[in-house]
Amino acid sequence: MTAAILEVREVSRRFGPTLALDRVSFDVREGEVFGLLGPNGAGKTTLLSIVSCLLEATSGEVSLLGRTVVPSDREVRRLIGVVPQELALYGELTARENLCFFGELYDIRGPELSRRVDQILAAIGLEDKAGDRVRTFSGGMKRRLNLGIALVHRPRLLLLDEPTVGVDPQSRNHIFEEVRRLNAEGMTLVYTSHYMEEVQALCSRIGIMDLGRLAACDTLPRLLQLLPGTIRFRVVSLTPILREQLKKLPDAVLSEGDDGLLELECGDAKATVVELMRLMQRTGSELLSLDIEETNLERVFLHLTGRQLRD
Amino acid sequence: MNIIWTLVKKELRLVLRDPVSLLLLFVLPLLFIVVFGLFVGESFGQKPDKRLRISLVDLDRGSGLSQSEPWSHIVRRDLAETANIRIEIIDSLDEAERLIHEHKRAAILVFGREFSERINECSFLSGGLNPFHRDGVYLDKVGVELMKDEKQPATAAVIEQVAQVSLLRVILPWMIGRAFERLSDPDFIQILGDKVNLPVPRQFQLLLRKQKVQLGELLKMASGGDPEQAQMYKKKVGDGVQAALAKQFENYNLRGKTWASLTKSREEAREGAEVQQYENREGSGLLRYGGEHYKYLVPMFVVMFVFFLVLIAGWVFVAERRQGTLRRLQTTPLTRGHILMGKMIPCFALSVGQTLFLLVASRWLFGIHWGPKNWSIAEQLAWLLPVVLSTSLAAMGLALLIAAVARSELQVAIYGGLLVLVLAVVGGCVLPREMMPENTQFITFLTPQGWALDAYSELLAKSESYQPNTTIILHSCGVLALVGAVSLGLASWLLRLD
Repeated sequence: MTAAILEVREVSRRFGPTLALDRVSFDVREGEVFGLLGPNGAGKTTLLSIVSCLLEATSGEVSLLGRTVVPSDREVRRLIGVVPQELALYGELTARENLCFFGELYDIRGPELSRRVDQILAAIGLEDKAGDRVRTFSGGMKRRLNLGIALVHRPRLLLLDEPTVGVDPQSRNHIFEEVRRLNAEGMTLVYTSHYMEEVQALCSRIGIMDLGRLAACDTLPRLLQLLPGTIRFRVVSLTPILREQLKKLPDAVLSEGDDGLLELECGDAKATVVELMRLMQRTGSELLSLDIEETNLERVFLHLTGRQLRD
Repeated sequence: MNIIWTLVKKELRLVLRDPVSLLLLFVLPLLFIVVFGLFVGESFGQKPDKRLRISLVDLDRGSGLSQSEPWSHIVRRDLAETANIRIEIIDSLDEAERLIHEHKRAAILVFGREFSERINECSFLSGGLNPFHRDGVYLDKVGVELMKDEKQPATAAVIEQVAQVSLLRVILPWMIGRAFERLSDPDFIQILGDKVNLPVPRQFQLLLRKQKVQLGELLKMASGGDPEQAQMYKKKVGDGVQAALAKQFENYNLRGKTWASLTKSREEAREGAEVQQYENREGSGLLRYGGEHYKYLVPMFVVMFVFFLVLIAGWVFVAERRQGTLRRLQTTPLTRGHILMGKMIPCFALSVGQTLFLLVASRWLFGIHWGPKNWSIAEQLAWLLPVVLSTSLAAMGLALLIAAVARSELQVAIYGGLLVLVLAVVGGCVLPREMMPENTQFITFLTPQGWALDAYSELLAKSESYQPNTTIILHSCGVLALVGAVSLGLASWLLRLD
């Protein structure tokens, strides 16, 4: 297991009477893509603000590469790149000027800056538009530039806050590829999103936040184990022998409905289906219908955070 | 320092790419000053004067009643004693011709070099110059020219009548006086003596051997043939004539030679005309217009528009906050001080740039000169710069205060707009302090605009010999710098970057 690059320890943040973060603790390991999921108001943005030196924690500690993260520490900010959820670009400047401006803020100048900016423009697919003013860009192009700006100083940790909101599938795919490429090059990323499939596809570990607390934090397979899969089926004739055999299926619990619907709750729905099919063949039973409800991240998320609408 | 320069460059680049901002900063203020100046006219900043203006050029170098005073001065004095007119002396014929050509004067009276000589020639004696015609004086005969603007015939006619009356009041008593003086001249008594035949009394007829005798012969007989004695008797007769005339016409002094003396008139209590040297109020600028009243307007509006920076700086902050870049900047290694300086320096530079642009443009367009006439451009700049810099600093402080308080563009417009307008009105940027009631003028000093105008006003060239009071200028600059420093400090403390 690789060492933690970011350590969040018992971090709380209070805004007046509101407790926005309540003793949140987790680690982000070097070279991983860490996903942060949570409904609105869960505390994700507050947490990212603390990690990106914009806010100070009321209590607890955040450390990056062993260095305590506080807003006054300018050096720690050089290690972090932030891709804000809202586009934060200068519309009247060109893409190149935006990149150069932010690069210069990190004391990168001259040929080195030009080289990096060229690389980033190529990476985000805006080489041809480098000299165009950003206000003329499409939403997707702006999103890509929004990402590019955070990379110009080559941060050790990249924080992406909903980086694909409101972009077309092509740009979204481009951003995914860029995230994967950066990760492959060894960059550590913290990725927040509302899109489960994005987090599922990109992140090796995922933290689920709700009401200021970290409800769960683990790898995807382990998170999926938090919730059973469900197999619903009907048979032509439920004989006592078949019922007994079904009850004996490994890692599965049988329940019977009044209307003859049978349900098997299981940890691994795919494996249980295979066992079920074998059993049906062995007992000469015939299936009338079969419906498999596999456990996915969304179900786990809703299970952990509830189905109640959030403000 | 490099980081601040990066921020400054970015801000300036953003402003330069926004044509509306540039228009607001540079073109509109200048346009406003020009148009407002045209609208308020030449009399702005001065008391309205409805008296008839008699403009004249005096080239006369001769002698009149005394050696030291040419006749033109006597006419000028006569005009000056006339009620409800004001006299304007124009230095040169070229200037007069230009004023007429440009329709800026309806008529200008020109006393030629030979005016005194011609008046001296005017006489009732044979061989003397008779300047009169039915309606007055032949101007050309006495060396006077009346230059007229054909577009203003009515005003020109009135001016001509005033001039005619004055000339009559000067020439006629002069001619009458000279004529009556001749009545006591021995030569005249000789003529009289030759012309007057008196009957010889009977008892002397034998002695004289004639029945009639000329008055001259009697005087000659009385002198006993002594020519000196004869001359003395003629003088006595002359004196007698003058005494008789004086007795006969005791209400007049027929030898007075001036109107007042001739008519024995007493000075009446009335407002005489004011004599002013003609000043070219058009200025030496490209527009050749309003050099004088733009002296009021340029500082007023320069100061007013400097404080409009409040709005621009406020908008820059709010826009940066709204578009999220202000928050993003805080994730970079910038300090709060860097961010504030990165905003303030370009705003300050723009403010100074705007002021210098307006001052240079006003110099070019209206020919406005700062300080005494002998001040070079470098000297003018050296004194203007502290005023410009301290005014911009004060404006910058207010701008940052508004940016600290306002959370949206609308709030900037409301808070900033109200503040700027109220301060401009109170500070004397709309109505000059000199035009305010005396007991309320101190209120202008409650505003930074008032102090800035005080310094600019002190620097304005008021006359050829004017020396500005540098203590007043430095005092104003000090107050402005203090206002700037205090408001910047307060704003830095209040301003939230998130």
